[in-house]
Amino acid sequence: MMEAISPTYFVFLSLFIFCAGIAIIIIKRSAIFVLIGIELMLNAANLNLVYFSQYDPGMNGLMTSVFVVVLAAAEVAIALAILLNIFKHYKITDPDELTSLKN
Amino acid sequence: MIASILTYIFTAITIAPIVYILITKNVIRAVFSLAFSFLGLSGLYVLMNAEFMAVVQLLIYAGGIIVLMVFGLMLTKTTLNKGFITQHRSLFFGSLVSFLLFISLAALATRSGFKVGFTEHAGDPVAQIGQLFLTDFIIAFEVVAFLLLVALVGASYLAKKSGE
Repeated sequence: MMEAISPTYFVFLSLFIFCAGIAIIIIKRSAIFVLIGIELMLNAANLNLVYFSQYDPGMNGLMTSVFVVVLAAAEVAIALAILLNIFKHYKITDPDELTSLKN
Repeated sequence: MIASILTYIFTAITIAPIVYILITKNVIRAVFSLAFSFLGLSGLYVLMNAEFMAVVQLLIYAGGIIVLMVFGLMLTKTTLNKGFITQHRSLFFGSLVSFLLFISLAALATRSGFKVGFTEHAGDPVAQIGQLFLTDFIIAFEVVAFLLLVALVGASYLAKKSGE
């Protein structure tokens, strides 16, 4: 179905998404932006896994990407709960200003 | 031919919101752009013969994670900053690091010369995924199910305890 487009195209696409995620994590001063960057990086990995899995009869890449999605969901739930607690204690959302987790 | 055109369209739908997230300072707009990016990725998964993954992407990412992020955003809104505007920091070094990483990995990707052969999947892919979950990936499946349970219970406990 996708013979017309070379694998390098998809590798570059996921590379762009991954590097954009890293840039977002470094540049933005908000914890939600950091979460967005992490999600983008996980999605870049998923894109590669799913693309190369269509040429694999065992579909190992596809299975791995399903597990990655589950782990991403768990991670976002935990991270947002921690963020909520931090906000209630310190009234900040910038990860730079957070220097201690206790007292 | 049509598949190629659709691939380019979905690539544009995926990349354009990411570029917008990179330049915007508004958190809530960034979260909703992320939803559009996930929609584009889901379309790409359909074109890659991975319909199950496309549905999972729509349900969990565009449906679940975006809603979680919006709730987290609304609950942590400060009155100090106006609305949801945030600031940039270390713009130069952040761009430099990610750009250099992109250049080096792109050089690696161009040199490696990926070659793929066409493989016809036998039978229904979704049925095959279900069988793999309960045969080859049974341990990973059980472990990840337990981890999800623990993570969600822990998240609700963490969020509740602070209310006391």
